[in-house]
Amino acid sequence: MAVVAGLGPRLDRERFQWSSLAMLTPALALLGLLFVFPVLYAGYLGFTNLALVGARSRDYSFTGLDNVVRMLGDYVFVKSAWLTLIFVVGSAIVGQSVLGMALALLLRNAVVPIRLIVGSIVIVAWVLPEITVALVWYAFSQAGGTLSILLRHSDTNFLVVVPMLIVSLANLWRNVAFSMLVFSAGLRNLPTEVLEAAEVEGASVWRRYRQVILPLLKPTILTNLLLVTILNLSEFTLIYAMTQGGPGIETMTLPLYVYQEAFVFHQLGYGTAISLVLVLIGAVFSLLFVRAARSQA
Amino acid sequence: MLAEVKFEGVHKIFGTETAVEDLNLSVEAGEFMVLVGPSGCGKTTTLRMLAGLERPSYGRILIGDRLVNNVPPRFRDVAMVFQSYALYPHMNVHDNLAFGMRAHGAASLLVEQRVKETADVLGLGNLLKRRPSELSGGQRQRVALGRALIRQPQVFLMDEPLSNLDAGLRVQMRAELSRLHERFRVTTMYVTHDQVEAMTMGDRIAVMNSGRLQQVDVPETLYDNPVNLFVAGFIGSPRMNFIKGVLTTRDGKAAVRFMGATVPLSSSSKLIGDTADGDVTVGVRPEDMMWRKAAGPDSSLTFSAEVDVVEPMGHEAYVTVLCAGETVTSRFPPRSGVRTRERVDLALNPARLHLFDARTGESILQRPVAGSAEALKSAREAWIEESSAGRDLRPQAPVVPTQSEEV
Repeated sequence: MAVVAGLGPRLDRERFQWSSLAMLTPALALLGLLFVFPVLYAGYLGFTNLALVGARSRDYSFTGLDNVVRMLGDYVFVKSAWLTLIFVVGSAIVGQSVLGMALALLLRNAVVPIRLIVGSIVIVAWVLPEITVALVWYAFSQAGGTLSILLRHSDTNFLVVVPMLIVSLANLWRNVAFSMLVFSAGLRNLPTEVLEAAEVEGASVWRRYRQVILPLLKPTILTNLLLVTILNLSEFTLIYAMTQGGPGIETMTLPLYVYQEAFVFHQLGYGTAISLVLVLIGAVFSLLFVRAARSQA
Repeated sequence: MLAEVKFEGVHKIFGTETAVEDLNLSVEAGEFMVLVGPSGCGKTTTLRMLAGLERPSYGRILIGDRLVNNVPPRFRDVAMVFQSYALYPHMNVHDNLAFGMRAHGAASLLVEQRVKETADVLGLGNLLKRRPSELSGGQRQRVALGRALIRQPQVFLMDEPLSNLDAGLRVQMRAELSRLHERFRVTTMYVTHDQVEAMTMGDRIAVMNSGRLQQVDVPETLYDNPVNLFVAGFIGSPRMNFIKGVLTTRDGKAAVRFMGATVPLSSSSKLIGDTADGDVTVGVRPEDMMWRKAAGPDSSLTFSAEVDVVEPMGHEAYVTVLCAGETVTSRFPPRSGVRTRERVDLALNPARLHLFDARTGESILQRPVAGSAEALKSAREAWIEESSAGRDLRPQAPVVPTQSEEV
């Protein structure tokens, strides 16, 4: 800080009042109690042999890296992590974002009635309770369901033949509205004159999209990817209601595996450890997106 | 490369709002046409229709001999400078300049060469690596111009390009734009709400109001012979004084009575059509209503007035006075020393009066003018011929003979 001689202390310095600390205390206490403590406690539990019932539920102990070692040798865990990656990348990052962008672009140029109708339908799918969506898609993909009739395989249960695909599609169908809304908002905020300038300058539709719209939308795209990844990583209800992770473990993504280990097999410690891995995956993705966003600025 | 532009009976209707009504306007090849008017008058809509960003509701728009009503912007061979400059924020100056040519598939060697030339013309040579956010307002303005120049289009469109610049820079860029137009002579349509820009830059000026074209003419004629109250009031700063008057005819001689004086109209100026006696609006420009002490012998009429407000501008002063119940602005020399409430004598040159129908606002006085549009047009054509014959000399602005002193 530059000090000019003879003028005394600067008058525009940031002030700190100790009294404000007192005002903050209730909020800090609540945050600590309901947020910071549980998170840290879960971090600890992930390295214990805590069980939901029985002796270990009261008399559990810190087991070091036992849970990690067990995970690495756990075939179901590895498969589950892989499925989660497929689900998040396929359904959320690629499917939801690409389709959401396509819808946003198409609706932007559509006449008003089309925009209202299509927009409403897409958003209704998003507003429906997850259980409802799960049931709709369950029925849709059963043998004798709409899908099998459409594909002329009326005795095929697609939820058994390609369970991950159906589950991903259901999730995509439900969540595309979110990306569409984010991208629509982003497109609306693009500077009109810049797009018009590109048009007058002779750029084709494709060139305008690739060289002007897409780069200008980059912050929106990264925000969307971040949110969509985090939301989909923890997706539980839809998959559980449709398949309970089956057939076999074909749709057992990490959230479902956590649920199974912790609440079906009562292995709370191991379940918590797996959920920590989920957090780690989310953190890695977030870091990538935030890094990309920063390089933009 | 020179193309003329024509609007034939063009209308533009948004919902129930008529933005442009029955526009008929020709911009000659190589001409700098300024479209001027208050906000909402339809001038920007007109420009956007020419760019292809809006489609006309009725009528025809032609560039050269080509009907362009349904031609998309990118096939019109026009370049536009936007009010906000509309630079691509994620590209550096070089790529901003190159974008249009690349879009048209120009060879990269040619693109590089033109970028360099354009940057040199506009003094952007050392800024090529910068992003728009790292440029000053004036520099961004220059990049926007360069982006238009580089493509060597048939028509330049400019939408209030100087309105975001501060006053000093605006004057500087005004001159620079004029110089660029002298140099490249591309047909230009320039939209502004600033009548000073219009007067200083336009070969001709088209004045619009409420979606209608009011008058198209060379600046001097527009100033000396406005066709109606709107043009008279819009062109000129400070604006023309409008005073209630009465037109009378006695023994075949017309005279106008206003501010307690009766001024006979001389025989050389004609009343338009079958103008009847009755209420008129008398128009007097502030510089024609002078301080008696500073006035020449032509200003034969004298009015006594009381000073209301004095606004010194440095090189002159605008003095608002109260005279026979009217409030009138007068242009005083600097350091006149007059003060509020002081009584002063004003002198008026009767040859400089404007008369408008009090009801319709149309001009009813035909003042003889020598600097007609035809005279200027032939001067310009002579120049274009000269320059295309390879000569590089251009006469100063076309000389406008002084106008007759009689009303």
